[in-house]
Amino acid sequence: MADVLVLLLIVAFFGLCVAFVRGCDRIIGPDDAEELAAPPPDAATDREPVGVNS
Amino acid sequence: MTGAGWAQLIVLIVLIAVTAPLLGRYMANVYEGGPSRLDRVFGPVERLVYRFCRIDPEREQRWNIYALSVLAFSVVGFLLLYLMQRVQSGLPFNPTDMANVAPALSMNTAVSFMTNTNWQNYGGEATLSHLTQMTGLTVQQFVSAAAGMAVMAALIRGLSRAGQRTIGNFWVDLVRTTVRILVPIAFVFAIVLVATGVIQNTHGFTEVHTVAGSTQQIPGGPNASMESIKQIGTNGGDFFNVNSAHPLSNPTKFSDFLELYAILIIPFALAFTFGRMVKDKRQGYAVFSVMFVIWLVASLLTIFLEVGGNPKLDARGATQSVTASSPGGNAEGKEVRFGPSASGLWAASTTGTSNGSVNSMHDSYTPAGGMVPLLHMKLGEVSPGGVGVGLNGLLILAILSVFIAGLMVGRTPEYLGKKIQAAEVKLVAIYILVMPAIVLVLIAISTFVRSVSDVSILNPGAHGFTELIYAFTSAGNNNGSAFAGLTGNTAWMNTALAVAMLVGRFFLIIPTLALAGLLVRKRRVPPSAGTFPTHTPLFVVLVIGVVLIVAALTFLPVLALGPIVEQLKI
Repeated sequence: MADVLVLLLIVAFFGLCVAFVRGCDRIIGPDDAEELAAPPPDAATDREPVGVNS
Repeated sequence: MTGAGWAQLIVLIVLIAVTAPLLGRYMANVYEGGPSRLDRVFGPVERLVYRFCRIDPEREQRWNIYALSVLAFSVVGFLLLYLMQRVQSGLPFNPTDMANVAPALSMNTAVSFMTNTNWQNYGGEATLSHLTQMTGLTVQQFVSAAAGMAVMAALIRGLSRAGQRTIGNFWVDLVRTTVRILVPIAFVFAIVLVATGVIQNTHGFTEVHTVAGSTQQIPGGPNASMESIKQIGTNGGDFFNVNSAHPLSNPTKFSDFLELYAILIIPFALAFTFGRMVKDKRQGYAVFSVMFVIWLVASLLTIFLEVGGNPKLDARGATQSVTASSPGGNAEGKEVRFGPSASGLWAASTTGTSNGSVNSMHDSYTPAGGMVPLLHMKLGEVSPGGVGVGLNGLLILAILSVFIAGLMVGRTPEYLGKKIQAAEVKLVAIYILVMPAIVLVLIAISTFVRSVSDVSILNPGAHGFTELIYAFTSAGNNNGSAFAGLTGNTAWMNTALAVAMLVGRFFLIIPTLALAGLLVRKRRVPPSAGTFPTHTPLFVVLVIGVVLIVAALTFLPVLALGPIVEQLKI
């Protein structure tokens, strides 16, 4: 009986986690096609440091 | 503080300063998938795992699929470990005839190791069989650490990539972390530990006759292999119940130093990994500086408070100074071979990471001395933090810092060229609030539970309350160190601590991955005159200030009811 309770607790928690994933996905919204299309040269591959006054 | 204490601290710092950048560079190459001389060794192993598990290493995942993969992997890990404990008496490698573990304790232990917490309500060698410790707990120590590092790699990719929708492949990150980082380092370190006297065998208890004429049971077991990944992966769960205070886990001052180094090296090195992956090493130096400053201050505070000893003992004429037979200071709960300096340094390091192993009993520290490790966990374990998850926390606090700085000057904040807007701040706010909420709510509820007051808390007043605060802070931050003096193996504590560990792990990982998924698709804006530089000493001070203010505002009231009032009563 206790084993079943443990299993239910874990299933319930991970179910909650899946709902949380969906909730976070709502916060960030769908992938914007315009944002993703034809990205400019990725500055991550540049040698120029980013986030810096230069 | 003795000369030996200063020497240990300085040598440790020098060793980390020399080796962390090298390891950081290696780990960056692992996560970027670059060519390596070691491909000939590790490549075939990885390909075998991919083929066996049907993983396509070329296929990357969106953040939500990455998160669901983390969850699925963790569920399977929990079920296997739970089942193994429940039937261990019928399994091989049980020379000490350990019985099956009760359901509530099995659940607590399985959650504890699956979440990289390693909180031990069970009695170590007195509860679990060799098989459960070797293949149940130790395997989780590898893969739970690897899962945390995989999530970190995903967050860094979110920051370093632009205009994309994927943040990597969880299964690939998990396999590469395990095969290329954790297993090789842990293997070498285990052999070094054996050389220092840590045991590694499959014996049960061996009866010996002491010089005094009595008999004693000397435990055996596969300890060095567990001890190694316990420290390397900032896990903290030991083969023995008294953890690294046990002479067969941590026999000498030299083994103590090596284990301390093993706790800190990967978390500090990951700062350099970050700098390399975002192609700006100065960002890595800034992150390293934040980690280092907080860790050093916490270490020195703990050491000096313990070396200073208990003023009440001075008043009664007891000596607390260093002598030929005593390391001096507050000696209660500490191993004579380590003394207050090495114990204090370990206490600060194990709570600044999510390690949680102990070489002394924190319950016996002076109230102020014990409050420092407690507060160190409450800062969110970012100094230097657990493997992967610590850097995640610090990067999220860095994003919060640029947001606050942006508010002060009235500009849209940016971090590494990514604009920080409403959605990012919502996810950061969730991340910041989850841990304090679950910790404080469960502490509050526990004060009303009869079994807590009647059974669990063994000390009255403020000290007993501190034990409760420490337990839930440790669980909620996935640390796993215990203040001691608290009976955790009750139905309520097993369940409540498991809930704290689960929420503290997965309710932080999910918003972290969501943040990665949000940032990865953003284009990078070029730096302008209004861009706040995030590699300067000013930014380091700002982040430290944010870390301290967030923790102070959240936890000062509860600390005032525990260790602060206890210190004032001395």
